[in-house]
Amino acid sequence: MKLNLYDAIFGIFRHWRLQTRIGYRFKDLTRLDEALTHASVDRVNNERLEFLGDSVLELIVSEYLYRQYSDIDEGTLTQLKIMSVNNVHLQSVALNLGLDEQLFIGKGMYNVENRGVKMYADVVEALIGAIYIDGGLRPARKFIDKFVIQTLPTLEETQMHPKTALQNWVSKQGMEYPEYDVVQDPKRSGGSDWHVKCTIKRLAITRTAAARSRKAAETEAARQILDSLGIMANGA
Amino acid sequence: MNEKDLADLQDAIGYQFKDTSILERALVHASADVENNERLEFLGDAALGYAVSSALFERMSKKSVGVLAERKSILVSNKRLTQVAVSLGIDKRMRLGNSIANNRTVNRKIYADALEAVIGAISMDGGLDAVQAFVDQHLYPLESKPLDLERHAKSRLQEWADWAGFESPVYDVVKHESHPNGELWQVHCTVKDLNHDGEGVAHSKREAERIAAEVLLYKIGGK
Repeated sequence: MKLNLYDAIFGIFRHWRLQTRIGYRFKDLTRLDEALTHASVDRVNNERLEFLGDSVLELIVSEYLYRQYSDIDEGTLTQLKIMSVNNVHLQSVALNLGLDEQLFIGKGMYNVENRGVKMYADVVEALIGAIYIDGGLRPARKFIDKFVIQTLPTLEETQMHPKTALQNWVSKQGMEYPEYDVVQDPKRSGGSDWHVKCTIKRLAITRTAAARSRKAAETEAARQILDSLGIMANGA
Repeated sequence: MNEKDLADLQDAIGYQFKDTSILERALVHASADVENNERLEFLGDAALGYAVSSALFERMSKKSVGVLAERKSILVSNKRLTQVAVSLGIDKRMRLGNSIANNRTVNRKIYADALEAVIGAISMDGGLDAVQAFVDQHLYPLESKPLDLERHAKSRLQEWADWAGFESPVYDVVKHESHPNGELWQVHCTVKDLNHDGEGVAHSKREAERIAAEVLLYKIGGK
């Protein structure tokens, strides 16, 4: 690959901007690039870092939950952990950090539709692996705490009404509020149920639910979205 | 658990607890008490996964993620963890509820779970370095005491090669003679990219292979 001055300067700028966002300066920037390289590009890609980052993430989240909730049982701890490492949650972390614009992907992936949720979740795990290898557990813990743990609903918030819980969650991710659209109005359709569609634009997620009242349909649609995010709602 | 049991167990584990009550807690099965080892198991599971992944990542720097994941699944399998738990005497020192204690066929997974809880206890008491040391000592067969000497040398060698990131051992027959009073087999055992080899001579091919594997294991210090 020919490297001209423009690429060099742009590369420095790109690294600087991303490191500022994630709050960590790499000693070895090749690790950052490796974390951002999808398997579709090169044999040297982010898969090994993702393997490592996955277990670092599980460790830090488990330690946090164990210390934070000293009186809840193992079953609830496990549910909370699953929620933290859920792919959709990690995808939203990736989007929040703008990692989608930084990823090196192969030609087959230029089509946005081929990029699944998992690809973004993986890059977050790979980034965690890269920070860990470069700087050890302390900066990895700091990153996970700030971007993965603090953006989750607290145990108390998961007991809230699904619409409130969903709204809290999206605002912590820096996303727009969910939209609720009436798809079918019984007064017009002659049916007995309201059909409401709930959308989170940034994640391209929609769920439609039906119920006797508009409010109940909205609640159910919100609950279904929370389900797909792996978030417990209303004490469920 | 009495003082002697606690001391013996810590010697077997290879870690001395600052606070032994957390070790005792790790050995309480859910059937025995509401204050049991389940939360520690939750923590230990993650600490173990981390320690194994980071060791594999470091030691197998050239291997693909598929190989790493496969090795990891072997090392943290219930089968393997139960083996280690029994070798440390954890099975004999657990506090079980009556429903389980009186049952003659105990589900052995409870020992694997207890081992994870012990690992959780080590991480609480001594941090992740202590967990890493435990993993190096007990889950890495090359450096550990033999987990089960009864097991066939060929499977122990295979297990070691898997862990260390080598290809499977190859057994070549160097010589085969038939005599009026029996056969003679000479077998040569090699592992690709490994500087040691082993050789065995016996009256059957199987036995010659076993000896060759045993010799090679001895040379690499795996016993």
